[in-house]
Amino acid sequence: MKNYRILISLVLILLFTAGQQSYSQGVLKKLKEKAEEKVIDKVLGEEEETEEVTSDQSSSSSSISNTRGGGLTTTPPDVKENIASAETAYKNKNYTDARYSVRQAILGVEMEIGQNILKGLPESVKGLKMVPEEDNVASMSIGFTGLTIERVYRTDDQELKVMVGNDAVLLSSVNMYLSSGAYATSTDQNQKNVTFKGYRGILEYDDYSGYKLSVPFGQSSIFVLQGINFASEQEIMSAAEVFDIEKIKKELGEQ
Amino acid sequence: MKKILFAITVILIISGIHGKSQDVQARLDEARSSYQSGNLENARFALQQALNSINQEIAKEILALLPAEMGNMPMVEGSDDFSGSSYGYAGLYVNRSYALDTTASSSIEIVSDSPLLAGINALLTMPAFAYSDANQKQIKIKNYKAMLTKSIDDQGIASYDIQLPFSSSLLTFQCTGIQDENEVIGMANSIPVDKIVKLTQ
Repeated sequence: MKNYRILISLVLILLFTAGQQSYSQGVLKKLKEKAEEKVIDKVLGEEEETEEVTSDQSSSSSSISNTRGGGLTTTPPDVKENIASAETAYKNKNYTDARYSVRQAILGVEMEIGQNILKGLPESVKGLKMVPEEDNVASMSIGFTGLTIERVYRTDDQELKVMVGNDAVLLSSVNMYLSSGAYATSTDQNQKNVTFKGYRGILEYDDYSGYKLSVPFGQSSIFVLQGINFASEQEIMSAAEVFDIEKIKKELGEQ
Repeated sequence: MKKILFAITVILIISGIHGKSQDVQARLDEARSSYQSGNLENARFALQQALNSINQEIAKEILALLPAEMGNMPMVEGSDDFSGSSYGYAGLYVNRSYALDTTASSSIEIVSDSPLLAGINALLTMPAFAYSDANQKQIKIKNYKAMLTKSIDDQGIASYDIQLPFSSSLLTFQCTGIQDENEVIGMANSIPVDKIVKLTQ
């Protein structure tokens, strides 16, 4: 009888540990899938919504919070200096340094192009004022994610975000949509083809994120406008009219 | 004979660099004058062209470093490929293939600023993930952490992928037709990773 009890206990323990193991494997697999999804999102430039929450949590766990510090001085790389450095490195057959300097020079030029485009954008759109601290110019200087320029306009309950991308990954998907008859005849009620200042584009609607207008222009650029709490497609299209796409095209040197 | 062919390949690669050097200098001159005259887009284009040429030269130097044979597989003549020649973006890209008849083949690929890089790094920095898949494991190639992935096809032939991230680049060694994992790892260890890392930093 005693042996019988021991045997049952052993079987129960084995069943429990086996269950735990398969559960933990399942959890690990899910974690891995999640991490891979995150990584893909990050590479493709999608926003990480939970980033803020995570950083808040980590700072609150520290016993001392930062109350001083002047931040970083973010000056774009000096283009002329980097071209000179690239020349010197190249003449010395130091290709690694030459590559670095040329990339820095590209970054400097792209930052200037981006700032020039931002200067040309309106300061307010249909009563929504720009949020200067959210102006953003980003460049990878390698041609993979290209150059992106962003500005945000906001009131209490309305937001308009304009993004100009050059050599951007996003462009290929929009162009694929526009050039594909299959997509264009889709019965999807939340997206449609529109014409904006003579350019073909896509207007999308989503209950969560609102309206999104994507307009490819030139050889490799795209204009994207995202509007939250806009009442109708007429309202978002009317807001889009304020932007001078020809001026942006000229700044980017697009044909 | 194979060594002679390899030497000829290296000489051809190095001789091609001279023509490129004038090209890079001209592009940098063009970039400087365009920038000074305020033509930013033209300056950007000239710099991108210069970068592409420099990438090609680094790629050629990497190709000259890669072994002529991988195990008992000789390199496939004319298979060398590098950035600018067939790849769609202005990054650094190097590829060399090896094959033994039709039974076994392998290749080395180096891509800078690879979109796959973040994923591999995530797997390498979180060992728990790596052990959740029986066909994946962490290994070391010349002291660099790498991810080994094994797959077996319908006919029972094994294929191995070794992905080794460094700086902002990804080195991938692929091998098909060799069943022994240790043999594949031994082959990967013949790649001069240290020198490649130094060139691509």
